[in-house]
Amino acid sequence: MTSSRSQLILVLGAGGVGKTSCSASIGLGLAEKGLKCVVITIDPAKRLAQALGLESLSNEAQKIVSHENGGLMDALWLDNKSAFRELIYRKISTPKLAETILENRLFKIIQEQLGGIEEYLAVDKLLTLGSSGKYDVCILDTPPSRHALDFIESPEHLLKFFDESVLKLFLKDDSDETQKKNLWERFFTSTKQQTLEIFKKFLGKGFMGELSSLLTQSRPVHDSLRETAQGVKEWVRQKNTKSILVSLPEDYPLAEAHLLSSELRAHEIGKANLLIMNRVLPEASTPPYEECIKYLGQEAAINLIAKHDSQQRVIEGLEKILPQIAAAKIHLPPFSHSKMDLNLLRNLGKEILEKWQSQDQTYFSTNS
Amino acid sequence: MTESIPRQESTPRSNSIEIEMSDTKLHFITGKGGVGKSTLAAAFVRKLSDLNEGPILLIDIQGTGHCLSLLGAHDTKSFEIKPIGELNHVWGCRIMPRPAFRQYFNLLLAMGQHDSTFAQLTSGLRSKFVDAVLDNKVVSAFVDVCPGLEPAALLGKVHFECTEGFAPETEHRWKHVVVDAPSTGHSLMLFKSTQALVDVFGSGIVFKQARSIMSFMKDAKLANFHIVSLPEELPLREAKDLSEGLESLNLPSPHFSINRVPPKVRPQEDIQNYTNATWKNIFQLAIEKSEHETALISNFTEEVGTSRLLNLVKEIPDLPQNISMIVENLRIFPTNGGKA
Repeated sequence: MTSSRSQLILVLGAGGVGKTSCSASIGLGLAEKGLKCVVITIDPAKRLAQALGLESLSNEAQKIVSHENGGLMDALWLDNKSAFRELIYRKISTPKLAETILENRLFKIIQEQLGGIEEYLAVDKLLTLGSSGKYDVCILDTPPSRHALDFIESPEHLLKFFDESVLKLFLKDDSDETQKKNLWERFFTSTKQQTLEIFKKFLGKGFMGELSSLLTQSRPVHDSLRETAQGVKEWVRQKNTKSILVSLPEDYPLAEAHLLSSELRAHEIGKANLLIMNRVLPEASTPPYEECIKYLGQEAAINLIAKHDSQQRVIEGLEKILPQIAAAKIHLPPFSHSKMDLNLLRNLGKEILEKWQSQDQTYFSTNS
Repeated sequence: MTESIPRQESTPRSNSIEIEMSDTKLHFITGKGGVGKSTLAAAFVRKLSDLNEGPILLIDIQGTGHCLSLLGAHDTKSFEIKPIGELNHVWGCRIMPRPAFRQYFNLLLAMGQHDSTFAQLTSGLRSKFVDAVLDNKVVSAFVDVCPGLEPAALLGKVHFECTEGFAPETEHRWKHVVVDAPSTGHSLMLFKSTQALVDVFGSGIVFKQARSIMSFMKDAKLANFHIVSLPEELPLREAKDLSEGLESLNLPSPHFSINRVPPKVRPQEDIQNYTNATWKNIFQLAIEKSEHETALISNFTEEVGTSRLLNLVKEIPDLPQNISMIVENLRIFPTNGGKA
């Protein structure tokens, strides 16, 4: 089962660093080399979506480019707003039961509370695409979050809500015995059962009843979640999975990248293969002061010079910690958003792949 | 549990009375990840402290304590309320779901909400009891997965400090509680989950609490919501979505602060005359960025209304370490004077 799945590229980083642009660029670059790729993204900036020709949200992959050598890139702009209902309907064979679950009042709270649902949907979709046999490479533009890799655990996280072992244990033995004892008896004979009772009373009867019925109803979802959980875990840990961190030469996004690299390790994916430092100002020289003032005015000039200084400081500091973060590092220059189009992205993709390859011979191998 | 819990002589009924007895103002600061929430939260506290508006409590919800360290706190990891640095009348703490739930459970018992006998226990015994209940394996696993409890506990702790909290070792109630909240979606979830508890259940202690938390949060005289954004497309869109999300829960309309606003470009000469290609390109990008972001800000202002745009904070490299540079012109309330 594992071997038939596409190679996975995870693209990670703080919000606003250019993750989606990098993901799309890499996809376009690989397509030119003759590979079949799909890029999955959740919330692209308007200009980028326009550049790719992605006009609307969709749960189907849309064709972006295809080449004569067989290479192609599709993109999927995942619609996660309404998809949850669909998911429940898909996982549960009888519509009536699906309806009952969706109407369970506790389930509504679960929906609100569970940040993991969006990630879960992405994972579910990803797994479907990755197992479809249509693509050599799946590029996942992860949501900007400190725990971006939580998406891997999201099926399990969701599973916890339906996990019978905990809840069943909690729900059984509804005896009224304990109430008759006085406080001190309760306190000193604080057995498992009694602490449970007190806690249950604290929550109230209605809550417990609702929980109990949710549990019974949602059994069918359970198995399906478990399957997805297992599939994704195996896939992410496939040997040929690549992870790419994207950052800016600034303290905050770099600290986030650093945190993400330890997340990668914690999820047994290992060190990131590549760190992309995006929007790096020219490094060789400091901005020419006189010209800065002449063409930008005093305030903007001071700002640019300070920014250049601060970038240099961050980039120098990075050298020390780089070995912990990623196997290779490349710098990309800033570019104008108004000039963003397919061509620019394709060139950017070429640049990324060339620079990456020059540092890491195994940068890209489709063997698993 | 070492935190001091003020004991009221007669326990007030929980649902209606706290609003009259409190003039603590809550400032709930949220926004997309990386926009400078912690920086702004720290700056808010500094500003309030400079205005002698103490005692002030800064709460970092599910954060790393960054906002506390920006103000020079010695202990940035503590879940207990501790004084911050050299600032006058400023305290701070972090809260995380698990410890918050423990504290909150204890508080409810102390207030006699569940069973008046618990309120009569000494705080030491009560803590032992709370530990016994919550350390129970089944209860602990249950709290982990049970819908709605953790969000309610996080907001419950904030609500408690706003309505009944005292500055440690003083007899003064907090004048301001400033919250460095989680990022957009997660903040909205805290309120949605707590509101869902209210909508779904009519009875039970947790649900009564949820109701009184939400009724406090909905009072525009007490609760102020601030959304921090950057002058960029996605953060602004997210700011607007969050604002609509909060309003759909009948929470007060939030105010906006836009961080890292680029300085105006005032060229003395036309850039086309410049011959150094590398820097010409960079200068052009700076000009373009400034123009683009200025346009985004003015569109945004038009959409949300001028009165709701509270602060335009200038882009200052290395800002987090330099919050004093923004404190002076910072506005906390729309009517506060000062300039954006």
